[in-house]
Amino acid sequence: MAAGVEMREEAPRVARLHAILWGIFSLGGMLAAFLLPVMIYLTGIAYPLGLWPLNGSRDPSFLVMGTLLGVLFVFVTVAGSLFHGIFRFQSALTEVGLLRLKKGLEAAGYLIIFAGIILLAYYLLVLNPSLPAL
Amino acid sequence: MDTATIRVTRYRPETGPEPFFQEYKVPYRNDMVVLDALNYIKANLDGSLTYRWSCRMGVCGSCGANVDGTPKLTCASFLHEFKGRTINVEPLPNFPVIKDLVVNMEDFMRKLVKIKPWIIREKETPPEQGEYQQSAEELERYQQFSSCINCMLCYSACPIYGLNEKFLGPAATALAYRYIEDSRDQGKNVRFPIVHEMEGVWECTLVGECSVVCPKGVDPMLAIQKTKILGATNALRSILMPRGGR
Repeated sequence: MAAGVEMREEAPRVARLHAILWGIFSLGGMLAAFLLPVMIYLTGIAYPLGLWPLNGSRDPSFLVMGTLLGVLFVFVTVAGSLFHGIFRFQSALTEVGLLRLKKGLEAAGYLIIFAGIILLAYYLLVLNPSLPAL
Repeated sequence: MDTATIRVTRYRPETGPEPFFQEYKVPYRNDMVVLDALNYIKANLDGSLTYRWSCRMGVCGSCGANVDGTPKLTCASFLHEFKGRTINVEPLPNFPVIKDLVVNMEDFMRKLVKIKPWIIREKETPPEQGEYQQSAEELERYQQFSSCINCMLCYSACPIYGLNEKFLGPAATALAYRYIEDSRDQGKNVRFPIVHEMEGVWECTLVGECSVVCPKGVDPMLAIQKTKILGATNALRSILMPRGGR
């Protein structure tokens, strides 16, 4: 320790919860960047337009929605992307200087996102017609 | 010789509360930089102009200013690059101004000391026992971050620091990461709590301007991201392995 350096700082408090949320955000970002475009292409463009690799094949959504592993894949991809979106929204609020409104908007955003994630889970596990009965 | 028009921010708290621009005409050659123009003004036109400078070669980091709207070292900004335009020279944004182009650096200095920018050893060994050795690969892991000259341009370019001065900021984090990655250093447990505070790295929203304006090619944004990854990993480890995690 350097002699003579004054240390009157308060003891630092590690933001552990934020670190974990950031980890999920970062994972969600990777999923959003890599998996979401693939899913959108396969189910939204390639299948309806008959393009490669789904030209002439059956509805690809059955492949992922019909098995538990597939359902997990859809859940992680969509929920991860949603979580990434809300975390990035928080950053955008800071960047545009909406600091006074930030807490309220963040709370509203998280409420919407978590409601969306719960609805997604409900659809995938309960309403999903392709999933065999558990 | 061509003539450059320089508009410099003047702020003299003893005579007026508001800063104002003052315009000067400066003759220049192609090898002259904005700092030369400021020196010309001080020597020939207005001795009261106040600014910091020292080495005139991009090493000391003293002569930073907002040149034409971008934080730059005035010793590295050539006048001919602005040919035909008025050059605005303002104090570095995001810092309180003391006088003219001189800003108050106290907050930055406090943050520099806070991250303990020196090698911490659990137990010091006497010099007779030899150096702490390091391979070329180990050096490469942190070398770019050790090139920081503390010019504070990155803090001026950072919108988050502008909104929240408690944010540890780019240069201090880059320097902390430089020691975290140094194989000779054993002070991770001391530095992690500092950089992983809410106002440590987590306030950063990855704007990236810090890395754009750095005159020495340091990438503070990368250091912040890598420090975030370490923070997230440590937090997860502390949950999964409460006895062995940090």
